[in-house]
Amino acid sequence: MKISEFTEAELESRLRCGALLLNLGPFVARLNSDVVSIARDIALMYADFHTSPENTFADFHVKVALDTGLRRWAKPQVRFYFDGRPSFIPLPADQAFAMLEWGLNWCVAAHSHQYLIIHAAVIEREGKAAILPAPPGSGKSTLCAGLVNRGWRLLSDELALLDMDSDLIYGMCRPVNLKNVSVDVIKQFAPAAVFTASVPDTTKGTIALMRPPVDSVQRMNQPACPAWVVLPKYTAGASPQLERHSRARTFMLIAEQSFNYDIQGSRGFDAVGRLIDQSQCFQLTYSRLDDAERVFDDLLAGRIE
Amino acid sequence: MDSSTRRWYPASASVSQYRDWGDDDLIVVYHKSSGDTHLLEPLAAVILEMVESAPCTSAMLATELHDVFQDDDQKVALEVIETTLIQLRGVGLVYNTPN
Repeated sequence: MKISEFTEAELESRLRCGALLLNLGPFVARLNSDVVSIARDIALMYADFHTSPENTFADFHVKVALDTGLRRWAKPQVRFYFDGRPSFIPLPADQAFAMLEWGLNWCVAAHSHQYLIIHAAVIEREGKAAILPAPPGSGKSTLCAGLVNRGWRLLSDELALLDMDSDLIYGMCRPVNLKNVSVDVIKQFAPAAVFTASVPDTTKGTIALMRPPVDSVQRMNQPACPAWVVLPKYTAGASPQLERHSRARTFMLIAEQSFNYDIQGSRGFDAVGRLIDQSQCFQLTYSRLDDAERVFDDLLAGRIE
Repeated sequence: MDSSTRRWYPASASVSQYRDWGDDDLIVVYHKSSGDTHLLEPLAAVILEMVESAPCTSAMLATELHDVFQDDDQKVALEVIETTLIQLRGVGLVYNTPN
């Protein structure tokens, strides 16, 4: 059953008793929450996602709950629980859905060591995946959000899951987390895109989440073969410039941006080595999404060797 | 005692793994016993590989690497090799016995 087939009251009810099992590609998350706005945001952002029956095995049992006590009536806060244990400092209640998203990212990054997990966006077209690893502020999520509204498939805006046996990349196709001016940039670039309400004053500034394209959601279980590693670098006013990037340096960046490279040992070293072997590595400086789109079209068409 | 005669040893018995794509002068090295990954220049990687194959002195390395340093005199070659060995020691890949 898809999320869109539930009424909001049914979603609320299932969330309250921890009976909403959300299929996230390689994982199933059991969600529990007494926060009404979370049901609304799940309905909006995960409309095209399938759920699993209540008795299905779930990889992650998570809960976002309002703190109890008098504070509930003044400045309500929410807390994230993993396997019943509080896992982070509480946040203001209006950040409940963002907390769920960040908490799910943490669940995957901290526990899914069957994959090499890279902090990167991944998009795919014609079976070829572009991995966009980058530190915060590089424009990775903005670029990813722009391109998935122009024909590229979203695998992830945050976590690339490299299967070290098949060398294929898996994603979860979850909502894209956009910050500050990027929200308006994507709203202008893709007017049909669906967003949550913007939430100000988070640790990342003002944030909003963008619903993943329906085609990407329908294909979320299909992995993709890495073809490019592109390091995005947003520079205001810059003309688009795609430059070859040292493969050895790209290796080190992938290792640094991996959440679990250190614990994979030589298996991780070999896997990143093969990833670099089969990928062209570039740095992309850009300021306009239209320019970046053309660069990616050129890459796909083989006009850039 | 002349520093060129002190003997250098690999930090572990296991041999490091190397990755080189030839698109620049950098080599990625995985040091199995520590689990650390390093980015090395080719000379450092060659010296590490030689020390890992058999403990040696910088003088022995200078002889082996004669082709690399053919335009330099022996003193310069020894300085470069010893500086490189000290850098490799700094990141825990080799160690040496005292003079």
